[in-house]
Amino acid sequence: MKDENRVAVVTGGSRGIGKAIAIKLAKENCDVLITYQKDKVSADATVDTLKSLGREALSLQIEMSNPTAGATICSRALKEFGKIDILINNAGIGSPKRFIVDSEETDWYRTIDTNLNGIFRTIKAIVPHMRSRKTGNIVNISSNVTRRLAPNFGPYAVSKAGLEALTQVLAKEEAGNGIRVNAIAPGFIDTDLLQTAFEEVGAEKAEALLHSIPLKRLGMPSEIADMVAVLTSNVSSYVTGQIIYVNGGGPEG
Amino acid sequence: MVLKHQTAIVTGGSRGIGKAIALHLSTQGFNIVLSFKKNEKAAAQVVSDIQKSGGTAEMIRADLSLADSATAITRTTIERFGRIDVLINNAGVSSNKSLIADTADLEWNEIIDVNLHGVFRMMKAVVPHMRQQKKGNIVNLSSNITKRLAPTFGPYAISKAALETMTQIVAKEEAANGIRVNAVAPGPIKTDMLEKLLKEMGAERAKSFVDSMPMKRMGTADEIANMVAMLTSDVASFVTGQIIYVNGGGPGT
Repeated sequence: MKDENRVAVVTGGSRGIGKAIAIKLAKENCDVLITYQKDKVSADATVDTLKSLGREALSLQIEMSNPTAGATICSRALKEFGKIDILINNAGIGSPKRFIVDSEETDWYRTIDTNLNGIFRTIKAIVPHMRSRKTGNIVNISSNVTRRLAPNFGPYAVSKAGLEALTQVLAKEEAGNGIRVNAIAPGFIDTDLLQTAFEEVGAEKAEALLHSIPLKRLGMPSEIADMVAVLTSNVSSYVTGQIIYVNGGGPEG
Repeated sequence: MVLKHQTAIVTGGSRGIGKAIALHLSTQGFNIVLSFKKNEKAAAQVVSDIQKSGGTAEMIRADLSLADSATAITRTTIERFGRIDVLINNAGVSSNKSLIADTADLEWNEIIDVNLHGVFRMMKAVVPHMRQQKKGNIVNLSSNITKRLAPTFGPYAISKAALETMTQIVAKEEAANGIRVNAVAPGPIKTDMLEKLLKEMGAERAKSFVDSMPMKRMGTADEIANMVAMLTSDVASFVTGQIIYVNGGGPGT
């Protein structure tokens, strides 16, 4: 079910899950704007891959905690591509491993600012355009941590829980404008970010975490990208306001 | 004995959502075994539709409130096709509109028997085959009612809530056997069953219910079948134990 010539914005699209999403959407006939924070080499490589799939693509260096990021992304995408059909709010940061009450205020603010406020501002910038076209599709990338609610990931979990609430409210508010809004909550996905996290917790704990996933394996970025493609296609025409966990069955505790 | 194709069982496959699922899975190359309770003519029509489009289908009469129905369906499927790859527990009954405290014992028993025990017995009968194959896929049809929890739908809501719990536990228990288990929870879907329910509600109440859905429309049976097919496919390879609401942003009031 391939719609012709759509335009997608994927924040944090240079690596990992965001990169897999950008590539999958390009295969589903989307021109793609990806944003990245730091890694220009990876962003350039992803853009090359998207172009090799026969689509238009460009990258934009931007920090999602920057108050003007949403407006900048929106105006750049409209200038280059003339419309935005799909917005994937994928960019996000983890928080240092601390108890909530021991978290530095700066870390707390930075996490909420990037993972929640940044998405709010991006949505605020792009939804008016989607409203005017009476069509649009938004997928927010949450995390399985909203079910695990494990200690030491407090700011991150709180930001993602806020994002899920935003997803559910926005879906109801914009349904009348032809805009669907859903979230995907990935479990442990095999990315650089996760490998670093596993190194930090140590081999034994990493093994235990892996074992606690009912499917007994890490997910692949492509398995998240596949679900994004489903949610942004007409296969999901009656699906909005949902949080879809792609987590190998857990862990939940 | 046909071994070429994978085989799917769809309970309650003669009409409405079950019919749409059976037709959809058939186009994906599955041999279909559909069960029906009463409407033999409708079931035969579905089988004939599948055969006309080059598929293979069998039908079997089964009242899932009866203890031996599950083994009968399973035996028929194995005898005919030699394997069971997908089980769609779709057959269900809704409750007459009464308060929980005013519900007749007989009615309570029937609803729990079909919607919960019936699915339990189907899983008990089918899962051993899937374990042997080290591969299987189960989708249970729940309902948006588990989010609405509206008065006068008590027994139905309770049977579906229990079904969702069962889905989540079996998913964890059987993950290591290569079996994924998920549920789809439809909102108001245009079927005979819903038309009858809306008629009972009265025109005004029915309209206010549909208008309370964010998308302000009923879903189609195909929109449920799309999601069921997606869950049984490799697109959902890291998805198990999930309840997917296809409800137009509902639950509605």
